[in-house]
Amino acid sequence: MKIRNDIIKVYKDVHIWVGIISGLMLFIAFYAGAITMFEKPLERWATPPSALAPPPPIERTEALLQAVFASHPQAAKHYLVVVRPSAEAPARVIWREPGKTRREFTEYGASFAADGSLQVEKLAKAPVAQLVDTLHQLVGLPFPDAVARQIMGAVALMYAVALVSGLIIVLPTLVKDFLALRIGKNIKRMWMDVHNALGIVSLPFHLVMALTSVVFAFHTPFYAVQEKVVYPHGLPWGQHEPAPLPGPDEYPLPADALLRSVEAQLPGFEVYSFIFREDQGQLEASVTGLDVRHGTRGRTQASTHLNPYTGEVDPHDLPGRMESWDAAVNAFFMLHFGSYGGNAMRWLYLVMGLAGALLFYTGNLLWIESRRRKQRDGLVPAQKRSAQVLGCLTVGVSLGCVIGISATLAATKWLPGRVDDVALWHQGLYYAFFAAAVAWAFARGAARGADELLRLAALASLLVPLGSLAGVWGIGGTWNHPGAGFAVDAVALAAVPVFLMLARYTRKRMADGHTDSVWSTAGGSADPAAEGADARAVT
Amino acid sequence: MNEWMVFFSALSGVAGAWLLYLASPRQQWLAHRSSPRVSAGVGTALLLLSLALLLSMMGATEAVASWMVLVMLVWTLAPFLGAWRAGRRTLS
Repeated sequence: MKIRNDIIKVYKDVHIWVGIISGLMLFIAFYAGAITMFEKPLERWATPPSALAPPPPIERTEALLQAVFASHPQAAKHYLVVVRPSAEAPARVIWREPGKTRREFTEYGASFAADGSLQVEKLAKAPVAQLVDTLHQLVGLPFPDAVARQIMGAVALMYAVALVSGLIIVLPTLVKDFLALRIGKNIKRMWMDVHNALGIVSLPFHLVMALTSVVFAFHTPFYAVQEKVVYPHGLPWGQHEPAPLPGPDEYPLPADALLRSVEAQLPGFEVYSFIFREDQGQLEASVTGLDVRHGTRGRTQASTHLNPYTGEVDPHDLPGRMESWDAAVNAFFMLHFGSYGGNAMRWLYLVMGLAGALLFYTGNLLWIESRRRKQRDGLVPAQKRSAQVLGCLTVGVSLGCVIGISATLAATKWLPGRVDDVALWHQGLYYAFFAAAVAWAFARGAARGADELLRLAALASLLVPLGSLAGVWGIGGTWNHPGAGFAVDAVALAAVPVFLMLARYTRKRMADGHTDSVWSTAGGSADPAAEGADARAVT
Repeated sequence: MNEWMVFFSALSGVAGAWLLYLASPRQQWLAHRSSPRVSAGVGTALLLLSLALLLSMMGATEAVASWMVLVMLVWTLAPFLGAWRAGRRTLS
């Protein structure tokens, strides 16, 4: 396909600048987003063991509920029956007590002790998985949600522009260079091929991510417009036919009967929990769970209404049973979350997410390489200040994010019991390591900084499984849930040799690569005087 | 979902996408492309089989999305594996 050179140049400029502005924030979003694909297993791995007795069988749920309501009447307003209790939801019955704001609440769980007495515990779900998700959602910005979300939306828009402009740039050579990766002396062409290999084939994935992120960021104004234009009587938020009032002799079905009823009505739907709310004397219920054959608009589960008196499910909110408009909206969310196909799909999304992070990283490398001042007549020129700054930023921000997440994960098993506000400590640790990494990259220069920070990333990742190993031996109040978190430790351990190998390649590049580059300690130091100096003789 | 069906759909999807990579002019896995038309034909058939298996197990949108993500992933990784093998070939 032929496109005029002047048109290509305009799109190239657009692509470069939106890429430079948004690339590092998108790196954080994709790296954290890849980890978030396993938010639930991470939460399970990170949550301290409960002191509650093992949950009673589901057939004894009614007895447990009666005991809870007798001692904690407020629990009857809003409670949850967990079908398969696990480390992050360790009780058969859980209820929420409201906090100062609508979003704040405290969760309690209950069980029967060995002597049959009621046990109640304030649940302490680990906040670290939520932190990683927040980094993903707010592209790593430490600002209040309202501010960071708007910036994230702008970044997502720039991301969409970068995708379209990038596609237009490669169109003339798309067929000729499709799936090409030329590794040789021409470093710029190599990074161009790497960037294209990561971006061209996965363009549909990236378009979905960009467009969905724009909607996630700006959904409030979108809803406001819809309300003005489409729904003059207000958006029909989750409206459903009210259930008929129960007769005087009707009582809610016990949890085991509800479970059998739902499993019979929804084959393939794995039930996670039942949620009950008391509304003006009438009990309302919903069932949560997942059918991996159908994606959900929730990140990890779907939910729908259930008549607690008859066990009848209202399936219209369930994926695969929705009307066409709702199904289209549902598809929009599920394609972003990868909430279909079970763990197999989550692994694919994880790798695609990491490849996406590399796409933005290589975009910056390409920019730096394109602006390299090349050696002439045996003289090594000082590299441009802009290339040095972007090299340090690229190394510092990307590896700062990697190290920060590993470090805060490594602290997970040591913080509970030692600090009051675990969530604040996780956040503080992440940003402390992130800021230190950026400062280190500027202090040491891109090349040395990359080598040293990669080795620190390897160390931080190694500390993650070491924390679990300490838990196996019960050192310092740490813990390890058998089986549940093995994948988290295994992935962190697998990352160690990868970071070390990248560090070794970085050192090799420093020693053997072009000296006229920010990636060489000979020609690329962040020496403030370097900009003024025209050239230095090769020694 | 039947785990064997998931396995076979993934296997045929990966094999189909890989054969199409081998049929492409820029492939580097093999020193010389051998019968690219056959590779392309078999690769396409395997990809269609993969899609059909996925459609029999999941909702249509989910099946097409799963299939596309799998193909995108293989074609993203294939140039790197090809370049790595070409590099080893040059060294030996």
